[in-house]
Amino acid sequence: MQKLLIRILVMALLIICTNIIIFIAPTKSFFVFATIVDKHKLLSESTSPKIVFIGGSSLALGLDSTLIHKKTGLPVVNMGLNGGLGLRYMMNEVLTYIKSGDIIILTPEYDHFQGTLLNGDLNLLWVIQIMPRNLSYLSSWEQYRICLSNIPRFLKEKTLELLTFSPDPVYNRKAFNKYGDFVGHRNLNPAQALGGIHMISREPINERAFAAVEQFVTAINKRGARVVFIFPPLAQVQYQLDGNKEAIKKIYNKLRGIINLYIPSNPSEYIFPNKLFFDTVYHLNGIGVEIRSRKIVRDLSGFLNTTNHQARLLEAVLGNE
Amino acid sequence: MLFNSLSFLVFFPIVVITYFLSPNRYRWVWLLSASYYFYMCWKIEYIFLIIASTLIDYYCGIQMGKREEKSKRRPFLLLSLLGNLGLLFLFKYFNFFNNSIHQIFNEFNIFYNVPAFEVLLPVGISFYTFQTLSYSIEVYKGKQKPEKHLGIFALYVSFFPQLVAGPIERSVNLLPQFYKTNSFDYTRVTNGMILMAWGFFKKLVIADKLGIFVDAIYNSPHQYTGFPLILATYFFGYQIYCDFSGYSDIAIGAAQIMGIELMRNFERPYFSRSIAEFWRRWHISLSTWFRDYLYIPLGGNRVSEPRLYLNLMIVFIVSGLWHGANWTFVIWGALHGIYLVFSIALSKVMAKTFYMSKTLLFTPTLNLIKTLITFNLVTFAWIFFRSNSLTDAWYIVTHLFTDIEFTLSFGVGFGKTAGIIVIFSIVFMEVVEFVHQQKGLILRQQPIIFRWSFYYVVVISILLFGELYSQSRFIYFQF
Repeated sequence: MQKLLIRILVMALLIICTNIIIFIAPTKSFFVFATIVDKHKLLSESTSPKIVFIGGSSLALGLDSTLIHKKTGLPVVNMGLNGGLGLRYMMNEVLTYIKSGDIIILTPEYDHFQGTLLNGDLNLLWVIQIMPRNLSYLSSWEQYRICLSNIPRFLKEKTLELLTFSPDPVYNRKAFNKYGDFVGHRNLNPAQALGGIHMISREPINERAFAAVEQFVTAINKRGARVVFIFPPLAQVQYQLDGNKEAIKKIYNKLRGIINLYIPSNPSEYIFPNKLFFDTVYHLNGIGVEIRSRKIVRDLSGFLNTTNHQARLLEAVLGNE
Repeated sequence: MLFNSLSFLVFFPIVVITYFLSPNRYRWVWLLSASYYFYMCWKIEYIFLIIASTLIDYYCGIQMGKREEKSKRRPFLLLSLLGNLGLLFLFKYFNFFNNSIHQIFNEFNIFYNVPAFEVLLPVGISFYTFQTLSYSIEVYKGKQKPEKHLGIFALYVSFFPQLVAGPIERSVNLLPQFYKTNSFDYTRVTNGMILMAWGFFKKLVIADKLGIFVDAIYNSPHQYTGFPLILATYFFGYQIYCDFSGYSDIAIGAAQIMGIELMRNFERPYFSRSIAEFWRRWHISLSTWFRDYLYIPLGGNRVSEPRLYLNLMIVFIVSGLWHGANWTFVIWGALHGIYLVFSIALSKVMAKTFYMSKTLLFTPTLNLIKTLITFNLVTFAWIFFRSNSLTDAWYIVTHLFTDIEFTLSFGVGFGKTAGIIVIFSIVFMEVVEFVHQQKGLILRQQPIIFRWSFYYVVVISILLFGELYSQSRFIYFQF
């Protein structure tokens, strides 16, 4: 029995060592999550005042930062990557880069306000593995718990990633532009059917998400910056699904209760026809991106409390819209 | 409780450790309790069915043992048959036949209003009823002494490693083993653990991964034509083999750890050179059961040629029906019956009309051709086995070669990397099983580096490539 136990122990140690090697092995440079390095570099190098967008993949695929930059004259950073990072992480990771005069546009997916997505999922491990200092952006025990519980699944995905020697034809690092926008899909044909249709209210509303947003707004204001909330793009088919309209309305009403959070429009203004989406109910296609980005510019026009020069510039530019 | 679940990972070591720590004469109590607990994890109420089956056959066995003449034993055999097959019919086939009769009556506008029997199919009922039936039949024939110890007999019926999906054990093999004293033996225990790991590899790394693709295609076949249907069918062939043989390996390995030897259920069936050989290598415990208790009593091959063909068709149709209460399974069974009938008829014609030299008959090329033909015939029949309905099966059969475009991008199932991994895993599995079977290569006799590399590859593959979180059931649990 002792001989057996020793051998089991040796095998267990071998397995653990293998898993450690897999965990720490560098990801391929073309891997889509590797773009987190570029986004952080962009964020650190952008001069203030700047506009920083926070959100998941709906933001990554759904923003034309070139247009925003052109219309505002301000540097734009699109930090959107994947909703699985969790809203809490997304807000934490930009905080230290924010300076006086910056504008933070919060545009997370609705799912961050339901269930546990506030604290992320397995995908959070990707950004930590690629940039270990991102661990410092975890601020709740729940985030650590989620990371630890997802390690076995993460190791499986990491192994597949290590064994992949060519980039995904659509979702890869090179598909991001200099502002952090994902542009690889803009000239592609949309999918025949949109994925990701689900009931938002299948998970209970998470009050902590609103508390986290409130704390974030307070922290940003202390730095002399402002936060604007823009609703994420959503396909008609998802909006009209049973219970989703009511769930979104609840989220909207709760957000309106947060002091100093500017909300220039309501969720229904960011519901778009299905044909404007690429592959999921959150991912706009090329045409949808342009329509949404122009809408964002119009929404910002009422808010921008900038220097007179910039205000006149903005009025002049927006007068042509 | 599934083998591929966290609860089994906790349950099994506790059972084994307690088993070895218990005094030998009380081990049956522990094993029986563990087996009943294992079964009750599915649905508590169904334990009464297995107890009922146990008590019926225990009683019938004892009564038959008291009577010398077969004529006096016959009523008890009939009672056992009625009890076991009655249970099986009620829980598994009542609704199927009821619906079929309903459809026929509807066609002729005849009123028929027998309600359906709304009940969940008890897991493993097809297996343990057949196991107890084989005991009753052997006692009737005088080949098996009736088991007087009710507890041991109950354990024979419900022994958890093979309870829900076999192997269907013969009493002459299994019953005596529960009386043996089995002490902890390092070699035996590690051999059992290796076999269990191998079973988990086949189930989690190959079967469940292939199942993702197969389910996507076979659950909506009308969205596809050509290559996806072909690929899904071949994949299903390997899915069901790895799923079922994986289960059998886990069951045999688990029993082996405790010193109980169960029969082998598979012998690399896809390398068979004929359908007859396939059925000597696939689900051996079931095919030998049908051979001994249906085919031979019908006359076997000691009858006229037409009667032989009829016997074969009966056996295979019943075998199809055993697998499931659906016409797709009946067609699958009938197809195999037709294959066998045809191969027998063809071999007689060829023997009469052609002279073949021994060299030609046994060339490797000819064997390869025969193997490929057999494999493809079996794969074709799997279409009916896997399809959800006859309509789906017919659609697949008629669209296999429509609009064929060789592509691996269907938007379903796993990605390219995962696909390559599963193909490599299948090749790895076939090589290992070939080497083990053909060359008699005993792992334990190999150098330590070789052995440990093998163990490491198997375990790490399960952890990194296995579908550990889907907790999918074994396919044969539904039978």
